[in-house]
Parts: sequence; structure tokens; C-alpha cells
Amino acid sequence: MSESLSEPLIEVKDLRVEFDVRAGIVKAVDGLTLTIQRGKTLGVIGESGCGKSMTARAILNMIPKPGKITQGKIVYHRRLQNNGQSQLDDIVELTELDPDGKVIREIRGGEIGMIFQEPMSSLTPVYTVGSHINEAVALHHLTPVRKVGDQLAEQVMAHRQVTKEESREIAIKMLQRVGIPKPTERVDSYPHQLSGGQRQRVMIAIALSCEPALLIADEPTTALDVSIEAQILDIMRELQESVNMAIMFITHNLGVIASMADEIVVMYMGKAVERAKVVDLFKNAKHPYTQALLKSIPHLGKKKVGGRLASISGMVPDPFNLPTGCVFHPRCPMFMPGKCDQIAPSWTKVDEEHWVSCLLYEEV
Amino acid sequence: MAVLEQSQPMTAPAPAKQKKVGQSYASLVWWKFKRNRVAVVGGVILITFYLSFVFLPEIISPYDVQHSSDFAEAGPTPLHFVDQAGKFHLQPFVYGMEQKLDFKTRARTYVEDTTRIYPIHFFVHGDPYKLFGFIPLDIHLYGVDQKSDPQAIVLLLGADALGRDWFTRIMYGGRLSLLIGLIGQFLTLFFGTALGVVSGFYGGAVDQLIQRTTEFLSTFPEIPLFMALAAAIPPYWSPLAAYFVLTLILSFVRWGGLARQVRGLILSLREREYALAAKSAGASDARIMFRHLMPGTMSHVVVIATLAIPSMILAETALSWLGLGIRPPLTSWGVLLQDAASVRAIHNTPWELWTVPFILVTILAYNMLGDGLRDALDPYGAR
Amino acid sequence: MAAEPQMKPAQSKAKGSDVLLEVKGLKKYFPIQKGLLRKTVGYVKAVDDVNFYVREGETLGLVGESGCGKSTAGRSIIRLYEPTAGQVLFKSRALASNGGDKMVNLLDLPPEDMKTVRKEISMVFQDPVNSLNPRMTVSDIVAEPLTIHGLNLGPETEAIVVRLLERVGLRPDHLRRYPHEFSGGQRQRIGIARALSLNPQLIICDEPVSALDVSIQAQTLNLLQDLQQDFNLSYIFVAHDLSVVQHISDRVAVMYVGKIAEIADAEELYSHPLHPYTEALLSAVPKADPLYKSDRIVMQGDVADPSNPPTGCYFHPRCRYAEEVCKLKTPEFRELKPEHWVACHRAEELTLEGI
Repeated sequence: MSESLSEPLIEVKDLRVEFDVRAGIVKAVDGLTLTIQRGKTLGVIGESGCGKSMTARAILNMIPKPGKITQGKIVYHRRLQNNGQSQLDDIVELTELDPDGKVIREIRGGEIGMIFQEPMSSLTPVYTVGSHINEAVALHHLTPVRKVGDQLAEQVMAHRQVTKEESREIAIKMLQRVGIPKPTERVDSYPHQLSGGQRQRVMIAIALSCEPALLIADEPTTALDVSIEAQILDIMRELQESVNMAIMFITHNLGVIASMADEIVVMYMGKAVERAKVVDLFKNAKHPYTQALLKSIPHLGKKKVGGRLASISGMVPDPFNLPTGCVFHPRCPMFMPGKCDQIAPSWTKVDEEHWVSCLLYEEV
Repeated sequence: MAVLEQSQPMTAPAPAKQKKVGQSYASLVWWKFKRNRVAVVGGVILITFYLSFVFLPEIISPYDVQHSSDFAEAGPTPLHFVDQAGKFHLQPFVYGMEQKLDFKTRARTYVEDTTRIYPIHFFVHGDPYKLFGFIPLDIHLYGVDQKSDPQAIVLLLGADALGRDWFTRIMYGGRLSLLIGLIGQFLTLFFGTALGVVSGFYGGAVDQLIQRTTEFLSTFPEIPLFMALAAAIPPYWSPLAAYFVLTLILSFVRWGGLARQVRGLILSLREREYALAAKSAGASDARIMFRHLMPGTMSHVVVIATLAIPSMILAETALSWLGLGIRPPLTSWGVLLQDAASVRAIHNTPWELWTVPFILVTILAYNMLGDGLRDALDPYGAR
Repeated sequence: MAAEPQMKPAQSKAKGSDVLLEVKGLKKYFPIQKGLLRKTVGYVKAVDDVNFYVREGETLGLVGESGCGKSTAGRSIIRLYEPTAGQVLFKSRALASNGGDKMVNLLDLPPEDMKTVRKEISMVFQDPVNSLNPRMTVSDIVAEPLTIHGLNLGPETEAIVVRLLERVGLRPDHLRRYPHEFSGGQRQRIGIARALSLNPQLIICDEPVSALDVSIQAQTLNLLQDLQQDFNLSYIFVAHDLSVVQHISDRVAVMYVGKIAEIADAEELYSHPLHPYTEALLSAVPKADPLYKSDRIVMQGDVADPSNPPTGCYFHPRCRYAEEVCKLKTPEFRELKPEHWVACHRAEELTLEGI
């Protein structure tokens, strides 16, 4: 959690991602606005189906078919270093770029890295029919059939002007950096010979090998044991400090996000419902969904009351039959009849750097 | 992608747009199958073939299968709509035929005698038969009036060396060839699945025994095996009995392959948690195997079986062509191919090769159907 | 079928006559076979000398990381995997004559008796997708245990199934539906209804909420607690999430590479752990409190490999308090404080930090 002055690195403005499936249109992301600050960690929290993963893919312009970005802009404040001397600031509209073009491919991997829950490509449920090689490289899937070192080196060579030998040296250094024991040996291992935690570290190494401005981490530790998770989170924080990298940390685990994020956005059914600094969110959540979420997790250490966990009644709505007005209203303990089912709430500032999308805080 | 999961709110009614709501596995499969045009066409072709060739050849063909005529080696009788005088007839007709012998090549040729006109009628009375073995009828789909002039004949696909209508022979031949594929595959399915399930579920010694046995069986060279077994069938057995034994033999050798595939599927399914749940509730091994695991393999098995029927048909064809299979007076496509297989036949009666397209279409239709089934039987996608 | 709601038995600290299940020296080794002739070259000691007990009406949490053997232990108890050694003593009512109960060793029972006892111990599984047979209707799935035991009597059974479904929060019109039509949380409920159908005394829950979203997790945990109250159930709750385990368990056992490191009352374990692994684990769990400050203990290295565990105490390579003796001798599992067992050579000397 670095303390640099905040400047926006990525600005997502009113993003809409839709999937046209047989039964209708699914709005995976429905009017999302958020900002990732340079050098800081933005946590994105939500349950399955809230659209957080799709947002990440939209930033990289890699929405799988049949989805597409139907609205909105994603602005990237690009800063190109010329050997550490001068800086070239540029504004790139990521959604306008050709998804297979040169610019986006430079950015992917070189300036924006991404890591996933399960690093082995055979296990990641990528939805596209047929896979792009580009996608595999850009999303840093570890292919099971190539050595770990080779995959790392390839990534380095794709974005930096180095020779093959140099890239191998860099690969070994990166493996050491992420805490893989005996890196000179491990560089020749295949992914299946490594444990889950080690594979995840290799993923991080690949993602960070080109010192990107932004690392998008989509549930990076969900599949890992707690003790390994702690190690991985530490590495991410260390590397963030040393490279002044921003992190977009996507997860459903409130504990992890409390320890990683500077700022948090809570998503529900494709929309952002609340955004605040991390302490503010946990101590002073405003949106009923956030409040309910916080109350529904068992907190380690609190004296066991033997009581029940507060749970959110009802279920996630059917994507083809969304409720009118505020999409959370059927499950909301603070539901106001006549208002919440009629009017969709808008993004309102309730406090210093604290916004909510809820009619409780709006003048209607 | 969880967002595409069909989740049901506890209180809202089921939305009409979702076609998949409230449907059993079987109806899901049917819905998906219907949307595959190619597969449906294949299915329709097969249903048509089976109905016509297996159940109704007596009606569809104009003659009885043994009906020989004076028109040995006659080519396909040309159909006409317009006669010599230029008059258009609504009903197609054929001319009578005169036989001419070419002394040099000893070939028989036939020349149309335009003085005799035989209109083709539909649903005529012709050779009598017993439909399904017990209903005495004599209606045929089409034909010429034989009663008034015994020389009247219509040979859509020509005649063989005995003057028998080839079209009729193909129809009757199809009955046995198509059936043997189906029945044989059914037996293979039954035994192969049972063996595979037991083998995969128990593993260990049972598995080893079954696997080694099937491997041993499959190393036998097929043709010599059949020759030996066919020679062992006593000659006094009726051709029909011999036919069934042949079917049994064909399927026996094949069920090892199916067993191996089923075993592989079972190995992965038996660790599924619903199988463990059944075990933890006290289910017997048999119940777990046949109530829980086997249905999970059925989709694969049906596809494998469907796609294997063509090879069964071809196997029968090959064996009969070699003279090891169906014996006269029974006829099958293999027997017909054997008739067509001599140089003399190819020279004199090349229309006997009309058997081949029928075989091809059958096999093609099975493949289309099988592919469609494979796609449809997994309606959950990659589950 | 519904018993009258009973109060939970008073939390007696001593192990008394209300012990429902006692596991002694449980071992499950999986042979490693290599080569053409499948020779056994070693063993994966998934469960290696595990001892614990569960009282009537209580929940024992079984917690640990991957490879610790907690799932295997749970499944070995009911002989889904045949244990390699040990005893599983269970207070069975079904096998007792004239309405009492009888302590039996499950591992010694002949098949018919084992089948009878299976009515009294049931299991809930982790994976909502694979724990229900996709080709069976909900009604068939929930009624299957009844069918297996010959208790399926047509329309009466349907009434029982409807009651069970309602009890877990589903509707009667769900009877004829298929599992794929339900969400993960609902599928888990179906699994729970199935586990209740024979009126068991003990339910082994094998990571029942791990695959569920946070809010659904809460609903399911609440449901499990309610059911425990209403039917006086005992649970063995296997999980890797320490906060969930603390919430639902009365007592907790921490496992590492096939052995139990520590067992104690839930509050006691979390506030005053005696084993360094427990301490490190508690420290590593990310707390949902951004202001939580503590010196985090980060364990180095990976979780030990059960097919090739370290010598002596399995935890010694990662333990910050390890000494020579830890490399040489396997620590004894002993009761250091009342109802608080631990397997560590240095347990008396160390003062460890809990939550």
C-alpha cells in the first residue's frame, strides 16, 4: 500500500459489456465507472456473476465471444519510458484499439499484466471457441508442454530488446525474486512439476517481468492454501513497492482485500454499488449490500456468540429478468416501496472519497 | 462464467424465455438434436431405409425376390412419358423387350419393342407374399400388369443373370444387411457395456482378467477366424440360423473394444461425488454401477455404438462377399456385391453395382446421425 | 420424522458417556505403484494415526491445508475408503437390541451391519455440481437413501421428501426438477436434504460451503446450525477456512500431513494455541479488518508432501521454534491441558499467540 500522489492510470467510464446468448441478452457489466490510481491497489469485490472478471478482461480488450463492449470508454494514461530518461505521456482509449492490433499487444503483457486463479491453461475456463495464441501469451497462461523458463523468457523477449541468453538470465532472476527455491534448476521445469503455489509465483513472475504499470489479479490466491496465500500476497506487495505498480485486485474474499487494497469497489450484478477507502468501507459501509456482505462472513477472533450469521435473503436475480429500479431491491433489508422498485439509483458522494449507488442517500 | 448460470430466484416464476427450464435430460437432448439439420436428415434417411427395407420390401418392390424371368441380364428398363407418336402419357410406361443374342460376344442384348406398351401402375396386384410373415397380400407399390401379358416387366435397375429384378434384390438384401448391423451392435452394446462397467468399477484382478481376455480376443485375425467359425456351422442348419450365429460371432469379437472405452469412462466417473454419496448411504456395488455410473456412460456409448454400426454392415458385406456369410436363398447386400464381383458381371450387368450407393447412403446417414447424437447427448456442454 | 427440538446437551468439559464417535489410531495409506508390474514402491500416508472423538450434539471441526488428510479421514470413518488400520467406535442405535445403544467398531462390522449403521451416519459433499447425479430428479436423489434401505413406500415417501425439502428451504414444486436447474447453494441444500433423509445421528460435512459464494455460505451455515438444533445432530465439519470452522464448531482439530497437530475447544484453540502450526495458520489467515495489526508469521516453503514427509515432526522444516529433537523424534499426541491435546515437543515451553 504505497503512499505516492494519486494520479489516474486507468479510467473506466460507464462500461457496458453484453453477451448475446440464445435466451436473451446478459449484461455482464452494466454501466460501471471506476478509476485505478497509479501505484495503488484497487480492490474489486463481489460475488460470482457480478461482472468483476469481465471488467478486467474489458480493460485488456479480451472479452470472449459472444460478448462485446457495447458502451463506455476505458482511458489508459500511458507513460512510456525511454530508457528511464524522458517520459512520454499519452492517452490511449483502450476500447477503440484493434483487439488484434500492434498497440494493444504491446500494452498487454508489456504495460498491463494479468494473473488468474489457476495458472495452467488447461484448467482455466476460457470461454472462447478456439484459442488465440496471442490470448494465451497475453493472459500468461502456463502451457503445460513448455518449460517454465522458456515461457518466462518468451514473455521477456516479446516486450524487451534482449537476446535469448539475456532473457534466460532475467528469467532466473525473476524466479528468485518471487521466491522459487533453486531457480537455476527450476527454470527448466515443466508446470506440472511445480506445486500450485509455485505455479502462481511463476505466473506473477511472467506478469511482472516487464515491470508493467498495472497488474490485474483475478482471484490469484483463491485456489491456494492459506499459508501459501500469505506468501503470495507478500510478494505482490513487495513488488508493487519496488516498481510502483498499480494493482487491480479482484476477489470475493473480504479478508484478503482488507489486507491488500487501498481503495475498494463493491460490485453487484454488473454495477458498482459502493466505493470507498478500505478502512472506510469496513468501518462505515453505506450500501445495504456491502453491509450485509460484511455481516455475513464469520470473523476470525470475534468471540463466538453461537449465533447465526446475517445472511442476505433471496438469491441473485435471473439475468434475463432483472428487477426494475434498483437491481438489489428484492433482497434489500432497507427496501423502500414505491422508490427502490421504480427508480434506479445514481452514483452519489456520501463522504470524503466515498460514493454509493443507493436511494437512501439520494434526494428523490 | 457464473453469469450465464441459470439461477432461479426463490419467489419469481420461471421466465418463459428460458427453454431449458423444467426439462429432463431426455428432452434437453431431443431439443438440441432437433437443431442439428444434418443429424436430423441422417435420422430421417435411416428411418426411411429401415421402414422400407426391413419391414416393407415386399410391398415396395414389384416382384418377389426369387421371381426370375426370361430377361436375364437385361439392363434397366427405360421409363417413358412420351410415346413413339409423340403423345404424352400421364402414367409412365415401358416398352416390351426383345431379346437378341450377339454371337461374337455371347452377350444378350435387349431391344425395345415399341409396339407393346405397358403402363406402370401403382399399387398393383403382383406376386403374393405374407406381410410380416403372416398377412397374405399381393399389393406392390408399383409394377406392370403381369396377368394380361406375362412378358410385361419393369426392371428399374436391371436384372441379374437369372432375370431377377435387381431393385427387388437390393430391397430384400437391405433387410438382412441393415438388421444385422443393428442387432449385432445391440448385442455388442449389451455385453460390452456390462463388462466395461464391471471392469472399471472393481479394478484390480477383475479388471486385469477382463482386459487381457478382450485383448487376446482382439488379436485374432478376423477373416481367418470367421472362415474357421463359418466352416464350423453345420450345413444342415437353416440359413437363418446360420445368419444369427454369424451376427453373434461378429458382435462377440467387437465387444472388447466397447468394453475398454466404457471402462475408461467408469474410471473417471466412479470418483464422482454422487457415486460416493450413494455408497455412503449404503448402496450396493451393483446399484452404484448400474444406477449411477452406467447412465453416465450411456451418452458416449450410444454415440460409439451408432458410429460402429456402419462397420458392422460393412463387415457382413465383406464376409458375404467372401462367401462366408449369408447363404442363398437368403440375400444380403454382401451377397449382391458378390454377384457383381466377376469380370463377366461387370461387363454384362454393370447395373448390379447399384447396390453400392445404397450401402454408401446408409453409412453416411449413420455417421450424420452419430455425430448429431454426440453433440446432443451432452446438453450441459463440457460436463 | 422430525424429532422434537431438543436443547443441546450441557457443555460438559470431561469426556463423558455422551461420546458418539471415537476414532483411535486411524490410518489410511495409499500405495504408490510404479513400473510394468505395478510394484508398490511407497505409500502416501494420507491419514497417519489420527485420534479424536465427537460428542452427541456437538460439532467437531477438522481443519487443515491441502494434503493434510482431513477429507480422507472423514471418508475413511464411514469406510468410503477402507482404512489401513485403526478403530472407529460408534454408538449405534440401529444395531442395538431393545431400544438402547451399542458401541461398535465400524471397521469390524460385516457388510449387512455396516449397511444398517449407514443409516445413522451420512455425508454432505463439497462440490455442488458433482455431488448430485445429473440424471436423477431431486425427488429421486433425496429419496435414494430410503430406497436403498427398502424404506421407499411410494406416495408416503414423496411426503417425506417434500417435508425434507421444505425443511432445507426449497419448494415442493422442485421435486421433479433436475440438478442443473438449480444454483450452487440450492444444490447444496438438496445434498443436505438427502443426508437427513434417514434421520442420522452424525453428519460428516466435507467442505460443504467451500464452493459457495459468501452470502450463500452464510445461509448454508445458518441452515446447518438450525438443523443441528432441531434434530440434535452431531457434525464432523471438514474445512480449510479457519473462520468458518471457528464459527460453527464446538471443538476443532488441526491436521497437518495426515496427523493431528492439536485439538481443543474452539475458543481455546483460537485464543491460546499450543502448536506452532496452529499459531502460524491463524496468523496467516487474512483478517477482514484493515486495521488489524500483528506480526505476521509467514511460513516458508510449501506444505509437506504426504508421500515423502520430513523426519521427526513433519512441521519442523517450516517451524520457527524447531530444535534438534524435532528433526529426530515424532512428537507424542498428549493432553497438555484439560481437553486440549497437542503433538509438539516444545509445547510446554512455548508461549504462542492466538487471535
